[in-house]
Amino acid sequence: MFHPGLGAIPSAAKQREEVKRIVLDAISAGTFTYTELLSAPEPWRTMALEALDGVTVQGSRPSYNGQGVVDWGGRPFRLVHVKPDGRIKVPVERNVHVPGSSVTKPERVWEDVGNIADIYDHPHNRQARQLLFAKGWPVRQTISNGNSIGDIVEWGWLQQAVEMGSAARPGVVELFNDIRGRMDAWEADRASASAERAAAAAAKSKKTNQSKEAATQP
Amino acid sequence: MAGVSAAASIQDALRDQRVEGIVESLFRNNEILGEFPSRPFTGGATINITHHYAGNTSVSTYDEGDAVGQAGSQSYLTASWPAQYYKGVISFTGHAQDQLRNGDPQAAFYDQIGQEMERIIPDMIHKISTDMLGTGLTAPVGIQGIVDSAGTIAGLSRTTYTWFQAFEGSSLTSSTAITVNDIDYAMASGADDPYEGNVTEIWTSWLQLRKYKAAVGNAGVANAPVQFPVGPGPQPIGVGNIGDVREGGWVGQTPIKAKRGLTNTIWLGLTKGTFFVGDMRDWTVDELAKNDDSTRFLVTRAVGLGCADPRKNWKMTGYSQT
Repeated sequence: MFHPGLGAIPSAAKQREEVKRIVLDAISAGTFTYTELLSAPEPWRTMALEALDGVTVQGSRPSYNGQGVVDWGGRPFRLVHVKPDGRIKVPVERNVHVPGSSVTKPERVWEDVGNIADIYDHPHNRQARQLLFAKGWPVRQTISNGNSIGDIVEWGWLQQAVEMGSAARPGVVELFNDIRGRMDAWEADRASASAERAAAAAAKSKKTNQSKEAATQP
Repeated sequence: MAGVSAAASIQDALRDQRVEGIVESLFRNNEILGEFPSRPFTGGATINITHHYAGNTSVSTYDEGDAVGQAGSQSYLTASWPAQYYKGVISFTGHAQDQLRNGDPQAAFYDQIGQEMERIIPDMIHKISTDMLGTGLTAPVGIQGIVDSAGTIAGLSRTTYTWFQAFEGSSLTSSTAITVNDIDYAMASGADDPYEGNVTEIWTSWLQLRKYKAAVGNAGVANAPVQFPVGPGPQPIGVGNIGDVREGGWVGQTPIKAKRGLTNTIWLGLTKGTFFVGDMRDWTVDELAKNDDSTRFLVTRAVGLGCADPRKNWKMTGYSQT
């Protein structure tokens, strides 16, 4: 994502401008992936994330003015566990009951969102970004030089990687093929569940209307 | 009944009979202030720590005759750690002071005025400790807020500045019971680039420590797994001195400390040298203007927990409390 010429730009401010341009261009071209961004070395990773979050830096202090924040138009990132039986878990804050009592306290619990999930990345909760930074495949491998292995892959990145040729990325095609099979089944399940919900809602609505009509009969 | 009787005649004499001293039956948390070194504020509302997060971008290889190109520079950002002001107010009416003899040791009563002065500080330490063990991201900042992977703390968003976030994980199994492998996973991940921690202590609740000890293997349990010596000091070969839960536990050479008041579903791996207690104002007792016939004192302290490098710590969350 970030070309070697960035290092030749003479000032940090101008480097930030160029990094921002690259990121925004990739978003408008539909080629942006978090995997590429998060795998980038510093300072490009930080500068790119500053661009996404609308952060400007004055001296050595960040300023969050809320302008220019990227919200992806409300669209989620599709994330997939690399193992067929793996589960994606996201941290959520919940009021948890002290066992057997009416007392609750806020605690962080991990919600299982499945093997494949569309994860949102709101400006106030960058959950997709966070999952990919902490557990991304191959983000973790890249950052740690292979010392640790991520287990959640960004589907958009995987598709791009396969399209762009996989010779330099061992394991990509195999993973893509494995996930594509799962993805078909997941999408079919999702469509079926959605149709069932729609049918149930329609039936409920019809019943309500019949009740209203019956009530208004003389 | 004539004469002196225990049933009726000595009540006044016995009224103030008590063993000397007062037994403390109230728990006051003081689990954190003594754990970390104090760092005085040097002016302003925050302790500012500059972080170096990227090297000179001009560093590269070159061949004979190549132009040297543009100079680069290091990259820095500043984290700003706040303090929280704490207060307590004591007031004695003139009547109370007269009747308590203003703390005179010759008085027939225990020194209630002195006790009020003395015990308000543990009350405040309890409040400070509870806050510091908590999840606060703004003042009062809590250790669980510092050792976290998201949220803005010290003025830096950890989803923007990934080098400022701690490693955070959850149980590796479908169960939410602590396992030895979970701790190893956190340790390995926390030692991994970009976290690069050197965890020196693990904190958890008494409940979780007991569960961990049971996971390691308790002596006397049928079909117990291999029993690691979890007590302190060298162990005789072949003897599993499993100790008891009060001795804490060990992960290799790293001690596990049970902390009262810490959320009982989490584990924290701490590189203790990264933490500090920012001292804005030391304990201060000021006499306030009299209010009618009452004498009042204001006790204050301004203090805040901070961390020079949050990424060198880890947190495992979501463990079962049952």
